[in-house]
Amino acid sequence: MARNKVKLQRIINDAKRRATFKKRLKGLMKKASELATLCSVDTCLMVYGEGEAQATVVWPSESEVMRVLERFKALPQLDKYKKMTDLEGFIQERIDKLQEQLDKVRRDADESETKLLLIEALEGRRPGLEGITIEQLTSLGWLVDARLNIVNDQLQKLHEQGLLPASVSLPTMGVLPYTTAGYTVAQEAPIQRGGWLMGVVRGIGSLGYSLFRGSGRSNTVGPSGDMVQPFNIGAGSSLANQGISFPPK
Amino acid sequence: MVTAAAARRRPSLGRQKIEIRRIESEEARQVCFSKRRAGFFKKASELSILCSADVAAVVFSPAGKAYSFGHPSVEFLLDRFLSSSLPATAGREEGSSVSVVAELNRQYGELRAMVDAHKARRERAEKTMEKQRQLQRAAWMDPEAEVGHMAPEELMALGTKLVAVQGGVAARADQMLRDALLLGRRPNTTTTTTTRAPPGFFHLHPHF
Repeated sequence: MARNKVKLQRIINDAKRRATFKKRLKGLMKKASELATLCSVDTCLMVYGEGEAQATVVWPSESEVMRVLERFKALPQLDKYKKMTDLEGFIQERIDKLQEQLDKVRRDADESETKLLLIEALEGRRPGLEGITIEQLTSLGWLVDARLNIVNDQLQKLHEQGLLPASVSLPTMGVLPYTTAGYTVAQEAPIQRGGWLMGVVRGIGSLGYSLFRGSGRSNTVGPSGDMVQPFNIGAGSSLANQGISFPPK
Repeated sequence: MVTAAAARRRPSLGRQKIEIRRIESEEARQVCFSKRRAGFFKKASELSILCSADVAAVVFSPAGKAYSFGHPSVEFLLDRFLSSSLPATAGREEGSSVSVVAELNRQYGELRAMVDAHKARRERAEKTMEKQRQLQRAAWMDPEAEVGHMAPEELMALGTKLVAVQGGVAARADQMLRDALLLGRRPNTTTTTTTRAPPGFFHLHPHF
């Protein structure tokens, strides 16, 4: 019913204000009645119209209101005031709830967009990954790493079960330049590996280029027994570490 | 939010006319109370603002908790009601109520707009993803499960693709870093990025 978006402030026009008062009062009593019946609870309502000395509305009835108020008065202080609000408090509560909802929706939207980005990248429709922000790039990086982990885990599992066909060969591990020291986990980072990307992000932020260079430590993870990792997490950073000039001439 | 739930995030059944009688299920009753109490107080607050009315409402939850709303305040209104001999405006503490309320309502409106904006963004992304069922496997609604259904060759292929993307991400990050450094020192030459596989790639995958 978004016909007339009424601004939430006192209605200037006297006649309109009085008409609105009558209408909304009726509606308010209906809401009170429904609440009381559906939930089988004690409810009472008192309304004083503008400038009125006596209550315009006492709902459901004077005696009922007295009874509910007696029940209310009998409560210990804490219970009375705990859920008592006035106008400002009430709006503030709604703001807080909305803020929570905002944070959640924003996170969901970011997640969905990152997934979409991954899909497009996998399809090859994103040649240079142009036109995306650092945050989006970082999220994408995390997502790719996470997915690679899952694939690796599954391949290892199959390998252990002896289910990998001969055509699928599992190469030995290469050099994995991880940096795990001293960076805080980003909001969506599910795994600790891939620290080089955070190093890059920090580098961009503070122009600490040496930070990026310096963080390219090679951890040679020697093959221990049957440990298998066909896909290097962070393999891409070898690009930078080997000083490949970019753009390619 | 777990993506399985996201798949189920359809609009609700819409407004349904319900019978006004006591809700039997205790849980449903509590849920209904929560929502309707909030709505009831909201309507009461609107009435008080729009029509400059003094309003007070006291409600007890099914569990026995007392909720009260009052403008200008519950106490003032209860006193006024219970000792009705008092003149209407005795002891009324208005304060800077109007401007504060207006400001709060403005904030609320802003937040509301932001929520809607992000909701739209989310819907757009999800809708676009819906249209690409096949490669959704990679983005994965439920990765752990999907992976269990994939043949080794599929896994390798997927892994290869992922590594390629990873390389692209690294390259792009590298480029952004360099751009940031070059800013102001040299005119920014636009470069086209060729999707090169990272050097380690062929070393790892002699079969590809």
